[in-house]
Amino acid sequence: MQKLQELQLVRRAARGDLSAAEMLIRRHQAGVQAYIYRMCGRWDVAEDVTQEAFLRVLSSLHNFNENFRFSTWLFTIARRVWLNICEKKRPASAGDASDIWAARRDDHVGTIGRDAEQRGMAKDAIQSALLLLSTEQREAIVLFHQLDWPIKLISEHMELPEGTVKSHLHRGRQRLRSELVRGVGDVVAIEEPAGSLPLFARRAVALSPGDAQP
Amino acid sequence: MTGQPSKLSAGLEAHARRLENRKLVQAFMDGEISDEFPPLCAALAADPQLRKEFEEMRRLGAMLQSPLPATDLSASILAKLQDRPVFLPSPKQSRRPFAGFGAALAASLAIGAGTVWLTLAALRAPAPLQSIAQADVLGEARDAIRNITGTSLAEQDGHRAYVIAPASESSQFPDVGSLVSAHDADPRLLASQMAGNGAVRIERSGLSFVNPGPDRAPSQSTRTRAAVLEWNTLPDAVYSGGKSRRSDVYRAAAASASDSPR
Repeated sequence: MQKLQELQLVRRAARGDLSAAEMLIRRHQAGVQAYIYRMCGRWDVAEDVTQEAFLRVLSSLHNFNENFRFSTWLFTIARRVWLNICEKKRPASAGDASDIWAARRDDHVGTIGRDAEQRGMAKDAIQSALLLLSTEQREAIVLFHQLDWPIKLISEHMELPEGTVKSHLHRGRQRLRSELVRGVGDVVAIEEPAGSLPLFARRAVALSPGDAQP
Repeated sequence: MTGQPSKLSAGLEAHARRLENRKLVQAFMDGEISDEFPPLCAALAADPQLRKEFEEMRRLGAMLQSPLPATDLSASILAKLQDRPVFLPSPKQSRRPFAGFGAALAASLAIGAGTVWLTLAALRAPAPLQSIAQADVLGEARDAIRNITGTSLAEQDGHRAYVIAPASESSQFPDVGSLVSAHDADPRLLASQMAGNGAVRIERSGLSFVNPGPDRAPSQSTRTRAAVLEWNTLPDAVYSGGKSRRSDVYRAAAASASDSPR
């Protein structure tokens, strides 16, 4: 959405126009859900966080700084909501926020499996591997690759220097790659959900000489 | 004897080259270079292992970009939004109290003329006072002045007099024209509306403060008595406004049907 269009919607919503508020929700809810799901691996949490983030943002539109994009603000709030949830669920000997979810990794497989059935999805190897990364690595990867954010914006969102974001991206990708290779072993291909790209598999990427790029 | 060092050296060179080439792959993944970037192509052609890594990374990036399903939460969010205590207030207008002094001067003259006209009209055909100037209207006027001037209101003596002090030493009070910029909430327009409804008597009152104006830096003495706003918050309040070249006076006095001109 163009910034100007978005701003007009925000202004209309700020005047109490529910249809404008609905349009803002419809345009951004998928991105927020994907972001939080990729961060925590649970759809129920992703939906809860998305709802709460929208409620907070839409009920305080008078605080919106028009110099920024609505989506940036929304994701910032969503991130805070999610981190708050992590904080509340943090065990006494807590470490990284991702430990909350990492500790539930066994459980997570079942959750994803259930969700997969419910949503007609195949088991998401990428998601399992993402949860093995540090929170910063995961967030940088999700924002950059899943949501297509530029590194500058990610740097502002994560409140980290651009170089640090790049470093998280590089290390995260390397680890993701090796975890996936380790995880899928000799599996040639994982059953794919319709319409999606093929899941990562070691043999699937083996190239024949004819595939070589110039 | 010489074979081993040269083999070691070659190994180190190959390692360094691989590290450099990996940076090219990362640069590609960061979107900084394309897969047609010649050094990257050359590196991939020369190193099958790097080529494999490159393809894996590229596939990884493609997988991460694949869209995820999402639940439509709009109905649920909108329903919950209705229960929130504050729903979607209007965004504040940007404050530019010192912008456009030329327009401000013109507006000052127009308002001065309007005030005189209203005063004369009110004196000519006074209407009985009614309780239109409710406390909330005066509250709006007070808030408008506070928003426009960026100053705080301090109660001076009980419920009648208020002093506006500048927000900082460098602050100047805006010329009257900049007050006009907030038309909806301008106290003089409120007063005009009230006058139109026959609820208020607008009169030229004695000047009780001096606005130093945009071309004069406020000194300590003028700053402290830069503005005085008086009004009361009684339901039958009368709002009075006056204007001189470099000053504005807002005066409100309690009024009742008995003292209103008939």
